[in-house]
Parts: sequence; structure tokens; C-alpha cells
Amino acid sequence: MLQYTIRRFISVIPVMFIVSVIVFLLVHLTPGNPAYLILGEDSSQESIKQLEQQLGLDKPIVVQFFDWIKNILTGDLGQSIYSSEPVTQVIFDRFGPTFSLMLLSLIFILVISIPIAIFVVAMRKTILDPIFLTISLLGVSIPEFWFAILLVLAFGVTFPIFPVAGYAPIAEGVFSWLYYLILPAFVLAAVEVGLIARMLRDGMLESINQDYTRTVRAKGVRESTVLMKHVFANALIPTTTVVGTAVAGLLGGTVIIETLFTIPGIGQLLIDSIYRRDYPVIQGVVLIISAIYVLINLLVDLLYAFLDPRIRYD
Amino acid sequence: MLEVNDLKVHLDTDSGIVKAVDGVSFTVEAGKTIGIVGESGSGKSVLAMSLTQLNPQPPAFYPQGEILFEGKNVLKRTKKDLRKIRGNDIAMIFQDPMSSLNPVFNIGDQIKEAIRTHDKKMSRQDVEKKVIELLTDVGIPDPKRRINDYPHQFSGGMRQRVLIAIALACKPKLLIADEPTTALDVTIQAQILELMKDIQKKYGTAIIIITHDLGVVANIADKILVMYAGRIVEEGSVHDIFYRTSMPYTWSLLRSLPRLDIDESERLLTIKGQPPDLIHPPEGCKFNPRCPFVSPECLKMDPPLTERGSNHRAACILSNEQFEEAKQALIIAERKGVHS
Ligand SMILES: Nc1ncnc2c1ncn2[C@@H]1O[C@H](COP(=O)(O)OP(=O)(O)OP(=O)(O)O)[C@@H](O)[C@H]1O
Ligand code: SF4
Ligand SMILES: [Mg+2]
Repeated sequence: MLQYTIRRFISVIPVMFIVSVIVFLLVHLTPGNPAYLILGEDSSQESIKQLEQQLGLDKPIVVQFFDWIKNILTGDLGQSIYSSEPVTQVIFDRFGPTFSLMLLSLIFILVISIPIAIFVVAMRKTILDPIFLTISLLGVSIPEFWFAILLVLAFGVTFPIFPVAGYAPIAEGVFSWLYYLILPAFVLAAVEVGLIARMLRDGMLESINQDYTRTVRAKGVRESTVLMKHVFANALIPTTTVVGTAVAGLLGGTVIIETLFTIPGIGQLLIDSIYRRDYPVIQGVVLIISAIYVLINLLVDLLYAFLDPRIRYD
Repeated sequence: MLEVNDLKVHLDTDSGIVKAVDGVSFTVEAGKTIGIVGESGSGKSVLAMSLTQLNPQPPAFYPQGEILFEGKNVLKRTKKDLRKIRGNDIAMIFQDPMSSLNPVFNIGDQIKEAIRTHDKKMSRQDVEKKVIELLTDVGIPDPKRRINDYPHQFSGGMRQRVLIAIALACKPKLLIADEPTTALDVTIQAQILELMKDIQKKYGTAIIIITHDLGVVANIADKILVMYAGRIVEEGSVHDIFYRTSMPYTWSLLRSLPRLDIDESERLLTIKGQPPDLIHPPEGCKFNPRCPFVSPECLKMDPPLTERGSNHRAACILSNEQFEEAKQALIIAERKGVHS
């Protein structure tokens, strides 16, 4: 397992290198002069020159590239043009809300979809199964923002139980943190729940007729244990991949949800920075989001190996 | 100990009712070995699983008959009672050792589960000791180390040994082995059969061994049941079945066995024709479409099992003498065919 972990960690290095190249090129492949784009049409030649100097755009591109890589390695992502703060600081300040949102969504996803899947599988011979299939299909096909608006209308306007906008950091108390986050996190989770529950159900139904399950039943083990231990453990393996993609999907979803619920997270920062043409921050955010994405994939792979001894012992 | 009376196990499928087991009676005595032999699709596995009601219901259902285990009808037991019987009184091992162990748990845990299910009070150390003991009994080398290994780290033969250890965990009174060696190499087959014999000596377990290969049970069974299309068509001692064969299907099975004293070219490799359709079985004797001795009579009535000697029964309209004559005539005709 240790060897596997080390191998997987090493394989991340080239991926992150390529990501940083792409993020670097983001600025240089955009048509037009970034400094000109940032400052707008009416800017003077001098101020453009000055900004180019500040951004290092006047140096040869190869030098710029090595500077960029060197800066990343030292944790320096440049300065925000808008606020003049270091980009790392800007991103760090916005990290809490996004992380909270994703974490709570993930908890929602797991806490809702696991019992549903087990319940549906236990009731597989009843009418419940086709009903579940229909609902889960519906859940997968519903657009996120549509469902979000529906929930906002239901629980924010018609029955105003939850706030529809804003965020309270956890430092101000777990309760208000949760209070603000429940609705957006639920909306974010809702789209994935159908998919994950469906994946788990399929995996369990597949495993339920396997020879090894018959062996367990022949031991005299009760059916609930057969389902929740043996069948579930095997169904987790194919589901892990989907959970990984789902978490990556959450990352994208946060951009929409944060804007919709005015949560000051990374997603909102990205949108704001695009409006402000704050190139260093855009670059930083894209780089960080990519890094998180790669990290999630790495974690999924490790989890995969943890769950499946056939991979762990190769 | 086990008495099966006129048992029917049918399967309700989309294409119709499969009469997989269709009126079977037999008994198993404590400590004895029964061999159940028949072609693929004759209903052996369905019969085996029905003894502890392991077949998923639906599609399986039990329209008729009883399974008396120690005097009580298994078919009438509650789910809880059934769980107490499974593994504890009646254990099973299956055909495919490669897929019969859960890939995500180590083998130690899978054997422990078999013990724990029926003995919740045993201390952890005792369970551990018992697992090592079982693994030693079934001939797994270096059990202390291998206890933490996962199924994929074992060969097919070793996995079957692990499955036998699981089956023996609670010292069952009856062990049902459904084609335990079919998926294994010939040399490993012999080792596993040897192991089962040893186990029987040590544990005094009764064994039902199911196979499509008469050769497998020749050395180990006290009694052989020949199954065809969900029925028992002949039953008797190994000697009866091999040397006083009274039923054309058994005879065909024997002729399909590889033998040293017969030239390969004269060997009937397989029995002609398709195994019967269990949804719409043929009228009369179920073997009649494939039987070399078929007569108009056979299409009309389905012959019941009749006595052919002490503890030897067969289901055929031909008496032993008639069958003997018909056989000779056929063999002579075949020889002529070969030489001309
Ligand atoms: N779950 C099921 N659903 C539908 N039909 C089934 C099912 N299980 C078994 N059958 C049918 O029941 C009949 C008997 O099957 P069974 O598995 O008992 O045969 P078998 O003698 O064990 O054969 P094999 O040597 O191939 O294991 C076959 O015709 C098979 O197609
Ligand atoms: S009853 Fe007729 S068809 Fe059936 S086995 Fe005997 S001879 Fe053959
Ligand atoms: Mg079978």
C-alpha cells in the first residue's frame, strides 16, 4: 500500500506540470494584449507599458515561463491587479466557504444515497425499485440551477425556513454556519445523489447474485448482514469512481451555487475576477482548482486501493 | 438423518415454469456419502440448494414434497431456523472456488464469520486458534501467515480448501459439495477428493457429492443417485450402478467415461441429443428422445422407480433381463457398423 501510495503521488508531478503550462498559456493564448485588455480601450500607452512591466509581459516568453514555474514552486502566484494583495492570500481568504460547501454537500450525498440504495436493494422485489429508477433518472436529468431555484422558492420564499443568500464562517458558530449552508449544499448535493444511489444500487444488485454472496448465505449469516457487509463492500468499489467524479463535479457546481446564493467562495472569486480582468487571480484560481481536481483523483485512487485488495497487493 | 420425499422444486421464469426438480425421494444416513450424478441441467444444483432453501425465491418455489432433516421439515422452518441449520448442521461448498470467496475480505475473516455466526460467545483467541486448526486440517501450508491473505492470493485448489474449511467451521452433520472439483485440474481434483475422504473420517460428516462425472464418485460414494431431467432414474451402490446397470441413461453415462480398456474410436464421447427441455419435458419417459432402446411404450408412460435388487432401483420399462439382451444386441450391431 505504501509503495502504491508513493507511486501514485509521483505520477501527480507530470500532471501538475502540464496543468501549470496550460494555465500559463491561458494568458498568452488569449488574443490581444492582456495589459491592454485589463486597462481598457482608453488607457494611455505609458500605463500599458507600466502594467506590462509589472506583469513581466515585456520579457521573452521563455523567461516568463521559467519565472512562472519558479514562482509557483515558491508559492508565489503574483499580485491581484484589483486589490494588490498577493493572489495566494486572496484565494486563501475565499477557501473556507467553498471547502465548507463541498464538504457539507459530500456529507449530504453520502448520508442520503447510501441508506436509499440499501433500502431499495432490500426491497428489490417490490414496486419500490422501478419507482426509485424513475426518480433517480429524473434527478440526474434535472438541471442544477433549475432545481436550485425551485428549492430557493420553496424553502426561502414560500416557507422561509432558510436564508437564500449569504454565508457565516464557522468561527461565528457552527449553527449559523450550517444555517446558511444547508440550502446551497443540499442543492449542490441533490444532483449527484440520484447518480450515486443508482450506482450503489446497481453495484449491490450485481454483487447480490455472485457466488461469494451465496457462500455467505450458506454460512447462515442473516440477510441484513449479507447486504450491509458483503454486498455493500463490493458495491463500494465501482461507486468510488463515481463519487470521485461527483466531488469533482461539485467543484464546478460551486461556481454556479456560490453565485446564486452569494457565497464568497472561490467560485464567486473566479467570476468576479473574470469581470475585473484580474489575470493573476484568474490564473491562480484555475491553477488551484486544477490542483484540487488532481488531488481528488489521487484520493479516489488511494481509496480504491484501500477498498479493493486486488489492487492494493499488485 | 436427511429424508427427501417426493420433492418438487420449480422455477418461475419468463419463458415458463422450469421443472428443475420434479419428484425426488432419497435418504442420507449419518456419516455416509451419497453421490448425485447427472448431466449439466439435470437439476442437481437446484436440488442441492433446496435442501437448505438457498435458491432465491422467486424464481424457485416448492409445489410439493418435504425435506426432513432430523425429523423436521426444512420447507416449513422459519427464516431464523433456516439460518441456524445453514452452516451449522448443513454446510455447502460450490462448483467455482475462484468466485465463491468474497474478494474484499481476507480468508481469516471469512472463516471467522462462519464460526461467529453460530457461536457468538467464543473468545477471540479461541476463534483464531480454531481458524488455524481448520486451515491445517484442509491442508493449507503455513496457516498462521496465510490467514491475512486475500482470496486472489490463492490458487483455485487452495481456495477450494479454504471453502471446505468454511464449510467445516461448525462441524456440520451434512456437507453438500456441488461439483467441488469440476473447475480444477485433474491432479488437484484427486487431492480435493482425498481431502474430503479424510475429512469424513475425522469429522464423521455425511456428504452429498454432486457431479456430472461418475468417475468422481466411484471411489468415495456409498450410494449413487443418477438424475435425469429433475428425476432420479437409478439409485444403488457403486457396484450396482457400474456393474448391474439397469437404466439406459446410466449406461450411456458410463459409456461416456474415459476408459483404458476400450479403443478411443469406440468410445461414445457424449450422449447423443440435447438434454431435455425442463419447461416442456417429453411425454412418457423423459429419456425417450435420446434412448437407443426406445419403444412405443416409452412414449406413453413414465416408468416409476422399481426394485432391481436390494437397495437398487431403476426407472425403465425394461426389466434387467430385457435390458441385458437389448444391450448385447446394440453392442453387436455397433461392432458390425465399425468393422464393415
Ligand atoms: N435461477 C434460475 N432461473 C432460471 N432457470 C434456472 C435457474 N437456476 C437453474 N435453472 C434451470 O434449472 C435447470 C436445472 O439447473 P441446475 O443448475 O440445477 O442444473 P445442474 O444439474 O446443476 O447442471 P450443471 O452441471 O450445469 O451445474 C436448468 O435447466 C437451468 O437452466
Ligand atoms: S423407459 Fe424406454 S425410453 Fe426410457 S430409458 Fe427405458 S427404454 Fe429408454
Ligand atoms: Mg450445477
